Amino acid sequence: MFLTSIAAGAIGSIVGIGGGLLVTPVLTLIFGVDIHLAIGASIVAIIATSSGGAVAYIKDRITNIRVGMFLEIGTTIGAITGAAIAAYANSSLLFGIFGVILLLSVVPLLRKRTQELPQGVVNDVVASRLRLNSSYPEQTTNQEVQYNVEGSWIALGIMYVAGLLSGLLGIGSGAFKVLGMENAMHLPMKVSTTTSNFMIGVTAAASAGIYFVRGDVNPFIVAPVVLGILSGAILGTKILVRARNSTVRTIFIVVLAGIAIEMIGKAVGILP
Amino acid sequence: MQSVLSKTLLYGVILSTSIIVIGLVYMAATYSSGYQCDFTDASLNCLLNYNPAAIPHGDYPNTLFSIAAGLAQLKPFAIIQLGVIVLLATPVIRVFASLVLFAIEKDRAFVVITLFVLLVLLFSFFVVPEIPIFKA
Repeated sequence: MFLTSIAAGAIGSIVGIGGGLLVTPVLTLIFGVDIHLAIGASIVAIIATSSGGAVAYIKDRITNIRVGMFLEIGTTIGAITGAAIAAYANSSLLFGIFGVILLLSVVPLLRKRTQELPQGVVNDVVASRLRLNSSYPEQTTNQEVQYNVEGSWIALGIMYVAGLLSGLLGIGSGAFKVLGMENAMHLPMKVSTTTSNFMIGVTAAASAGIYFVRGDVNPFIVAPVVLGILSGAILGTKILVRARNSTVRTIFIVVLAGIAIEMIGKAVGILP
Repeated sequence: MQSVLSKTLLYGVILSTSIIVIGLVYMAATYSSGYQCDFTDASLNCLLNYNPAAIPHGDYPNTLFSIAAGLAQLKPFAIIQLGVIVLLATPVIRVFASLVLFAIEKDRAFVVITLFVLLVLLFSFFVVPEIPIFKA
C-alpha cells in the first residue's frame, strides 16, 4: 500500500488531481479493502497530495493563490449542495456522465498538446478587479512568465459543478478543476495543475469531517497510504518544476483518459 | 508572503507525519493497536473489516473524544488518528494563514472571499458531523 501510494502521490501532485480516483480502485481491487474504508482513505490521500505538493508549489510561486481562493467560492458552495442531495443521486449515472465529459475534454487538450504557453490572453473584468493575473518562474526557459486570466465567471461555474461532483461522489474533482483553468481561463498548464493541487485539499477537507465521524477512516489503512502519498507528492513537485508545460499536459491527458475509462467502468458496473 | 504560507504547511505536514510514524513505531513495538482488533489474529481480517457499529469502542477511534481517551492510554491507533487529524487540518490552516496575509495586505475583496471559504470549512468540520443523519 505504501509503494503504490508513492506512485499515486507523485502523479497526483504533477497533474493536480487528488488521487481519490487513483487510490480507491487500487485499495479495493488489489488489496480487497471495503469500499467505504477505501473512500475514507482516499479523502485523506487527497489532502496529503494537496498539502504535500503545495509546500513546494507555493514556495516556488507557481500556484496562483488568488485564483485558487476565488474559485474556491464555487467549489465549496458546490460541495455543500452536493453533499446535501447525495442521498437522491444515482452515482452510476453521474460517473457515466462525468466519464463521458472527461473523454470529450481530451480533444481540445490534444489539439494544444505542443503549446507551451497560452497566447493572446487578456484579463477579463473580474481578473482585473481582483488582480488575478500573475507570473511564475519557468525553470525550463529560465524566465519569469507573465500571464493573464480570462473566463472567470465560466470557470467559477465549472468549479461549482466540480464541487457538486465532489460532494456527491466523494472525489476531489481535480481533473475538472484543471480543465476549467486550462480551457476556460487559459492559464499556463503548470499553473492550472498546481493551483488545482492547492484547491483539492480544501475541497476534500470540506467532506473529511463527515467521513471521519462515520468511521470511514481506518488508521491501519490510512497510515501507509498517507506516508506513501506524501513521499510521492514531494517527488512529484521536483519533477513538475523541471518539466515543460507541454510535458505536464501530455501526462495529464494520459491520466485523464485513464480516469474517464475508470468512470465509465464504474457506471456500467465493471468497477466498484 | 508565499514563503510564510509554505512554511506553515510544511510544519503541519511534518507534524502530522511525525505523529503517524510515532504511532506506527509504537504499534510495531507493542504489537497491538490498542483496540479490539489486534495482531494476535493472524489473518488481520478484522483490521480491514468495515463495521461502523463497532466503533469507537471497537477497532479504532473516530471522534475527537474517543481519540483523546485513546491517547490518554497511549493506544497506537489513537496516536495515528491524531496524526491524520493534524493532516486534515492543514488545508484549514492554509486558508486561515491566507486570510491573515490578505488582511495584512489590506486586500478587502480577498479577505471577504477567504473568510467565506474558511467559514464553510469550519462549518463542515464542526457542525455538519453533528447532524444526526450523518452520524454512524
